[in-house]
Amino acid sequence: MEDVLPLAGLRIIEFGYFVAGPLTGKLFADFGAEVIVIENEDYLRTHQSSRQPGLGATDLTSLNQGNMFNRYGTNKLSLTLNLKQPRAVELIKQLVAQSDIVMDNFTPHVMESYGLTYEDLIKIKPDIIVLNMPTMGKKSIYEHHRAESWNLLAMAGINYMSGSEDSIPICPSVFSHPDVSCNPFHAMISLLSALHYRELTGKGQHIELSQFESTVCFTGTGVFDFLVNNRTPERTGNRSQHAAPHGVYRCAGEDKWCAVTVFDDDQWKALCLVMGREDLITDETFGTLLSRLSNVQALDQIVAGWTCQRPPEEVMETLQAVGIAAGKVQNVAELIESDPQLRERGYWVPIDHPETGKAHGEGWGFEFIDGPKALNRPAPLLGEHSDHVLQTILKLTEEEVSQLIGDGVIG
Amino acid sequence: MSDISNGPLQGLRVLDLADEKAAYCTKLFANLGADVIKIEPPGGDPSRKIGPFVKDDQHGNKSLHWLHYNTNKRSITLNLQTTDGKHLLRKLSDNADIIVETFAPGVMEEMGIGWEVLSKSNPRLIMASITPFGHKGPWKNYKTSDLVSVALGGLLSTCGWPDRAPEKVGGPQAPQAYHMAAVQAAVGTLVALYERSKTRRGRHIDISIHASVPVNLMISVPIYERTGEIKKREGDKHSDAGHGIFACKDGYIDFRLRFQKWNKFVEWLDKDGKAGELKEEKWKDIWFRKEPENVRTIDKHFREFLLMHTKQELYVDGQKRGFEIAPVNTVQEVTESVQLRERRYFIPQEHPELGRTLEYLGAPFRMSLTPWKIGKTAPLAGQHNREVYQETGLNQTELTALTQAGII
Repeated sequence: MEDVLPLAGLRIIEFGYFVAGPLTGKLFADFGAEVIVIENEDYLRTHQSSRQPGLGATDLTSLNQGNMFNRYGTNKLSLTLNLKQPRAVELIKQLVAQSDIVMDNFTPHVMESYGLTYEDLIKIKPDIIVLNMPTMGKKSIYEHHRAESWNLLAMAGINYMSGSEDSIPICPSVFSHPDVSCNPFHAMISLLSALHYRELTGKGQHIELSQFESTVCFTGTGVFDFLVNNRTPERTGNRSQHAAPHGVYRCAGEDKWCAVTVFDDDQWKALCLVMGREDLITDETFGTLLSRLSNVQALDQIVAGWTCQRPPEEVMETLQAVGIAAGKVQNVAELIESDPQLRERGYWVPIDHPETGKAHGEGWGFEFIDGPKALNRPAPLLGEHSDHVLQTILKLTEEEVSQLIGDGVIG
Repeated sequence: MSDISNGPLQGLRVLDLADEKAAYCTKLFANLGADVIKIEPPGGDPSRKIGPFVKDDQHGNKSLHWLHYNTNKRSITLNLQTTDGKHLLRKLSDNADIIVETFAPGVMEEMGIGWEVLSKSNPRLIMASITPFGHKGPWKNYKTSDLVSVALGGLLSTCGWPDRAPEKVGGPQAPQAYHMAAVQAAVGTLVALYERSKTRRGRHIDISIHASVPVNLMISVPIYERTGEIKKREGDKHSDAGHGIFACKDGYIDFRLRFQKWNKFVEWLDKDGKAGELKEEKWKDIWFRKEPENVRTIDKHFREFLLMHTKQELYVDGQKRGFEIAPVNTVQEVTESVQLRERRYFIPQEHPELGRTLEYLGAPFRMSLTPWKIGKTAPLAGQHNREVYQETGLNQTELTALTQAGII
C-alpha cells in the first residue's frame, strides 16, 4: 500500500506563472497527481517569467534554467501550446474532459479570452473543479489590477505591522512571502476541500482565491484589533507586550544573532542563573514581569551583554537546556549545510535537473509518519511532455502532431 | 447540534487539542464546515488570555485571539490528566475523523491517548501533530515561540535592516511561523483525507513548525547553490531598478517593474518631465539597466516623479498603465479599502452579549457550492458539554458527577 501515493490518479491542468500557482500545483505533483503545465515559448521569450535564466545560469538563451520554475515545477509535465490558436484551446478542452482540476493565477480576462472559464469548462466536464487565483477577484472595482506578491503584503497592511516605530515601513522580507505562504497554501486547502466534497457528492465547483484577500487572512489579530477597537498595533519590532526578555540579541561573530523569548518566572530565574546574575532574580528593576516590561531597554542590554560574548549556537543550546525557547538566526547556507533537524527530517529533497544539475528541492512542513514521501523528479524541460500528452493521453497520431507543430498550434 | 453548515468539510468531526501554534488550522476546518470540537481544560483554554481584548476588557470571552480563531466551533471542557478524562477522549476519538494536537512529542502517548491506541480503535482516524521541531531529531524536545521559529527557519535572516538585528514579519499579532505551520498541517491532513477515501485508513501526520518556515527562502536556495551568495536583509535597498518601496507625496507605494514594461515606465515619468536621460536608447538594454550605478540613476528619477503624486493617484494610474503597483496601506487603510468593502470581505457578526456587531476577517477563498463561512461566534468554555457528552452515551447524572469532580 505504501507504493501508492495519496494523490495518485488525479490529473491537474496548471496555467501557473511565477510562484503562487506553481507551488500549489507542486503539492499535487509531489504526492502523485499528474500535473500538466501549459506553456508557450513565444510568450516566455518576451515576458518576465519564472523560466527566465536566473542567477547562476550557464546558458542565457535556455528557458530551462529558471531558478523559480525549476524549484516549483518538480514532478510536473510540460505541454507547449499557442493558446491564441483555436485548435490549441480545443486540445485543452479535450484534456479537461479527462482531468479533475484546472487552475490558473492570471488576471481574470486571460482565461476569458481563451474561452476557458468555469462556465466554458463545465460544458465539457460537469464535475470539473476550477481554481482561479487573481489578485483581486471578480465583480470589484479593481478587478483587473495586477500584483506581485510584495504588493500584496503592502496592501494587506503587513509592512506597517512589521519593524519598529522609528523606521519606514519597508518590505518586511527580501522575498515575496505571500507567494509561498498564505496564497498557495490556501489554494491547496481549497482544492483538497473541493476534492473531498466531490468524493462525497460527485460535484465539482468553482473556486476563486483573491490573493489580496488571502493575504489579509494572515494578519491574525492585527487588522482585527482595528476593526474591533479602532486601534493600530504598535510597531514593536521583536518585542512582546506580555513577555520579557523577548527579542533578537547580538552574538559573537560577524552578524550573528540569537532569538531569546522568556515567558514565565521559572524561565526568568533559569536565565539569570545561566547568565551568572542571580541578583536579578528578585531585583527591583527586573524581578517581575511588569518591571521587566517597563525597563525593557535596560533589560535587553543586560541580555545582549551576555549573548555577545558567545556564538549563537552556544546561546541556543545553553538556554534550551534550561527550558527557555531560544533559536539562532539561521541563513540559507546554515539551513542547507548544518541544520540537524532539517537533515534528520530529510527536508531538502535531492533533485537532479538535466541542465542545472543537483539541487536541494523544496520540502514540506508535514510528513506522513511511516508513510509515503514526496517524489523527487526534476521540473520538466519546456515542452518535454508535449508528445506524451498529445499522443498517449489525447490519442493523436504522429502525423496529427506534426501537422499541429507546422500550424503553430504547438510550441 | 451546530448550525446547519454547507461547507466542503461538512460531516467531518474534528477534535481540537491545538494551542495557539496551530489555531489557524482548526479555524480553517471550522469555517469550511467541519464540526470542530474545541477541548478546553475545565478552567477554560489558556488562549482565552491572549490579548488584545475587546475594549481592553480582559474577560475570557473577549480575547480577540479567542474570538478570531474559534469561530464556528463547539466547546467542551475535559481534564485529560484524569483517568475518566482519558477514557472520555478515547470515546470521542472513536467517533472523530481528525484530531489536531500540539502537545510536545510523546506526551499523548504517555497519557495513554497516543496514535497507537486511538487508531487501533478507530482506523479511519487522521491525527495531525504539530510540534516545534517534529517528533524526532536532536531538537525534538526544544521549546519554541513564533520569533524563535522564524529565526531558526531562515525567514528572519531576510527581514529588516542590515545595520541592526533582523525584525520579524507581522509583529506580535500576526505570528507568521504559526500561520505557516497551521496551513501545512491543514494541507497534510486534507491530503490524508483524500487518500482515506480510497484506502479507508487514516494517517498520523507529523508537522514541524521549524520545517514549515524554510519555504520562505524561495530562490535564495538556488542562488546560494549556484553562486554561493547568501541573501540577507536589505532594508530599503533596491537590487533592481523600480523594485521596492518608495516614498510618495502622502506615504509609500510598493512598485515592481517588469522588464517588458520599460518603455511604458519611461512614458509615465515623461508625462511629468521626469524621464530625462532615461529616454535614450541605451537604457532599453536590460543588462545595462541592472548595473548598480544605473539602478541608482533610474531610482533617482523615479523618486522625484513619485514625490509629486499621492498613493491613490499613483495606484490607479499605474495600474491602468499595467504596472505592478500597490499603496503601502496602514492597518486603518486596509479596513477602509474600497476593494475589500465592495467584495464584502469583512464579515459582521452580532454579539448580543457585547451589545454590538463586530467585523471579522473574511474568507481566504470563495467556493461556488460550499462556501467558507464564519458561522457561529466563538463558544463559551464548555458551552456544548451536554450535547457532545450525551452523544458519547453519558447521562445527566454522570455528567453532573464528572463536572463536580473536575473531570469535565
